[in-house]
Amino acid sequence: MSNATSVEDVDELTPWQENWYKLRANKIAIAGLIVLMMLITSAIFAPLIASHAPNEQFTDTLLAPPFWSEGSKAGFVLGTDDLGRDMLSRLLYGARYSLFLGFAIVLISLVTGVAIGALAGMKRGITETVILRLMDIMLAIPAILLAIVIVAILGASLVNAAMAVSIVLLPHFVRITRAAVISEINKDYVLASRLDGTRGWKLLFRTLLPNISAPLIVQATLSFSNAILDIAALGFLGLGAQPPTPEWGTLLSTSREFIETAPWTVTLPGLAILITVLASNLLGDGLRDALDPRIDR
Amino acid sequence: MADQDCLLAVEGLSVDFETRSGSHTAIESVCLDVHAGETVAIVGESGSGKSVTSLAIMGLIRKPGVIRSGKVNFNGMDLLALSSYQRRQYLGRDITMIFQEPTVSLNPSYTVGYQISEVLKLHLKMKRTECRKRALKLLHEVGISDPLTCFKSYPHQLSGGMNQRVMIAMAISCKPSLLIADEPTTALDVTVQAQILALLRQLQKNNGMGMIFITHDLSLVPDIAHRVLVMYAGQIVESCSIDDLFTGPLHPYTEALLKSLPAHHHKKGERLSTITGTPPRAGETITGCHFHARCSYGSERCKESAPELIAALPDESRLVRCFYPLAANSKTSAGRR
Amino acid sequence: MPQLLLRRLLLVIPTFIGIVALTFFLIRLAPGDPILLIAGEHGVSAERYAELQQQLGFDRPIFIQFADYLWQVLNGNLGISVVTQTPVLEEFGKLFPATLELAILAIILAVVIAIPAGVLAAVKRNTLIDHSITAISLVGYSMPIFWWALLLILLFSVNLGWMPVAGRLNFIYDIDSVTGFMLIDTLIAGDREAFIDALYHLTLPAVVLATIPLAVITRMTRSSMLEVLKQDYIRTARAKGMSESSVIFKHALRNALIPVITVIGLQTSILMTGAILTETIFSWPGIGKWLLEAVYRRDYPVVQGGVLLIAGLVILVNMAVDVLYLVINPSLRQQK
Repeated sequence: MSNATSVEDVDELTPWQENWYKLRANKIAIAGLIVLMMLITSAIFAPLIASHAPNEQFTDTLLAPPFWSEGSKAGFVLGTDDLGRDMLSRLLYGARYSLFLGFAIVLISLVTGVAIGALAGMKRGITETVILRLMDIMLAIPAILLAIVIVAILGASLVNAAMAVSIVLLPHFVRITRAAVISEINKDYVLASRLDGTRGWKLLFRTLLPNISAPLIVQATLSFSNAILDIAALGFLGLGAQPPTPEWGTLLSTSREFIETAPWTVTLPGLAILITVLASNLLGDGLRDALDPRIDR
Repeated sequence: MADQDCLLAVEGLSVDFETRSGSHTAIESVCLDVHAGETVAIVGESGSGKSVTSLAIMGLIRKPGVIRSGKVNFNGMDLLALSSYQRRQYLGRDITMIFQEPTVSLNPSYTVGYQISEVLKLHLKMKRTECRKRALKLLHEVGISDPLTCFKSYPHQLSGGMNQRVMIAMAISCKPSLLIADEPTTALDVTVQAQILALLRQLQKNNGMGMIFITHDLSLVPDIAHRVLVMYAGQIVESCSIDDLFTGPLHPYTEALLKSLPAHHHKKGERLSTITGTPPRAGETITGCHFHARCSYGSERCKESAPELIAALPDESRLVRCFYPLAANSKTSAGRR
Repeated sequence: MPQLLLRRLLLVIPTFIGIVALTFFLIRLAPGDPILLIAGEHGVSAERYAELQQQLGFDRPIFIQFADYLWQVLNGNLGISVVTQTPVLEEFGKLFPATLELAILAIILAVVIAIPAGVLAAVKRNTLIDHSITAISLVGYSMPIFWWALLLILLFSVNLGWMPVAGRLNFIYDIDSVTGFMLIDTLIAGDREAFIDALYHLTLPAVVLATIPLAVITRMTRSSMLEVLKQDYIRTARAKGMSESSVIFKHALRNALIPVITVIGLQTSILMTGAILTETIFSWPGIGKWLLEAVYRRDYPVVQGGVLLIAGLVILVNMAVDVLYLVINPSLRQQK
């Protein structure tokens, strides 16, 4: 007599479903995801939610404080800045820049990085060495500095800043992809695909990629956080979005001189950045816990 | 054996593991005693609870394990009732333990000599030079040919066998009355296995210490043990002397274990016998006898109610947990399935 | 051991040459005539132009230019600042101690708090203490540094008036620059008041700069400690009768810190070179602020030379960390 259950009794979950369940159990990560979703929604529907246009100046309500302070003006929930522009509206529109740029940057970095890393991992030899050296060089220069220098060369604008940050984030994706490809390429399932005639790009996309996606996803969320912080830093230094664009970092660069007289113009944009990055990091941590089988809680 | 020789008397030891899916029993009502100069072997498959028993005796069970009940009487005190500070006075000095994987059981960042000296300093309050001399002597005693080099080495620089000798040296350094050996030879080569067993036997003879020897390999037991406890799925199913075990086991599981030993088979080409099925999974609740699903004997009664561990002989030295214990050298009354 | 160092050095050389190449081509990428960029924007006379053209040799093949540039770099000639007309290397040397002083203080501050915090969080795993520490460190590296600096300034300088906002020392003190480290120089000058003033000036920037390393090192220590506490040798230590604090501090911590050391090293190199934002906000006269201003003012020789020097520094520190790691990790020592 055997005490094993019959094979049909076991419900099969695909690995992705399993991961999703693991993630769902992590309440904090889900909180991060919800906050992020709320931010994205606010950003998308900014024109509908915002009470005013972001660049509209109301010259009779300069530097009005938020609604919880004395002297606040009706209709301007979070106060106004030095040119009489509504803070809340500017923040909402600013969310569009940060979030959209964050996604775009990560996407570009990811796609390029995976391509280059896979090239290094599959071709090996000279190609690999050259690519690795190149990445080492890029990593030898601190991220902010590299971004600043690239923008200095190309000229200060939001698009250039985004490109600079994409380049700065590239080496991480390259390294991860290369390492993952090297460790997977000798496994049996890859061999089976190759015997079947799958080569090159097809091999990469259909066979390898699904199995190396876990560390890439984790790195993507981490890079998303970094992208937002770096874009804001460049904006703050005047090397990114230029005023009057309401990018959060740029908001801080102009409001800096009013730190004594109108502190909310400084605290609020920074808080927006903090909340966004925090939510992203919480989600990233949760993803890493769910996707990395070695972590135990 | 006279009772004043009794070093360790464990009564009703039960340990549970608490996980998010509920709590399950690791060991249940384990009783054993060890006398001076005597080796008691605990035999069982992986997951039978033998390691948990030894860790519970030492008080080394940590979350999520919880000691539900039991007494561990050592030298007249209940170790489990002591505070951790009090218990620590005995651990490493009077009651010591060696583990299965010696190389990872030693700290990779300290030399082997340092780790031995640590015990000497902690329990015997020896000074540094004394510790060193004593440690070198101990290394020599456990059969290491170049004690000085060994003393200055790091665990990863030594072989598994040497590291196990080091662990033994650490364990006997304060002349303990009881040594617990948890599968000390499982991770070692066969030739080294024999050497370590011989060493343990020798040390026991010299020091008169009691020993608990835990293993899953029944064939090692005659070389080293005086008495045997057979564990299955967290319970003791049989307890007897070595001779009794090999001449006539009482529990069907013990019989099956003996039958599956390669040495048991004399005829060439004869198939090795195995025990069908697998042990219960951790956390699985079982009604009735834990072994009934794999047992070749027994009846419906075994499925419904759980047998107690009771004496099979008038002198209470043989215990068995079965409704239909095998009579020595004969088959049971309930019939085969 | 020496061969290990040599091998490390050899690996580093191609990377260094790569960086020289990168900086070399950077200036070629900038829009505009490179000669005008080198000469400065104030207009160049025809003679000066010809002189520079001859000097800089832009008419020669590109590889010869590069070789020449490489040669110049190895000889210590990194160009002349367009703005101040002083050699780049010299300016760097004058300003670097300020950055170094700040970085060292920040790292010490970070390590002193982070390691105990990480150990505590690991030992008291899944309790309120653990969750609090983890939460704080998470917030720590989710914050934009420049905003954090502004907040601290708002609180401590503006509202409370405890801390000064800018510079290294109140201008009323006149201290000779001997080492370049303000704390040391004030002590050498015997001026106790100045020393305290220097400390005050260092506090806020050091706190700001220490924030991210603090968060990262805390997390790293915690996870490393958790890994180590699961190991068999910890069980052995307990079986030997060692007290819990001995187990944690003598047996566990030693092993847990090994990977943390690399992280500390990496953070140090980031601090030394990435202090741009902090230095700018606190008007700290270090290489970060110098480089940023050079970018604003299109002082390309400074940008070029500065990036080179900073990258060189990072490589050096990372190499030192690699070597240190080999030294402290006993399992990497040779088999007997």
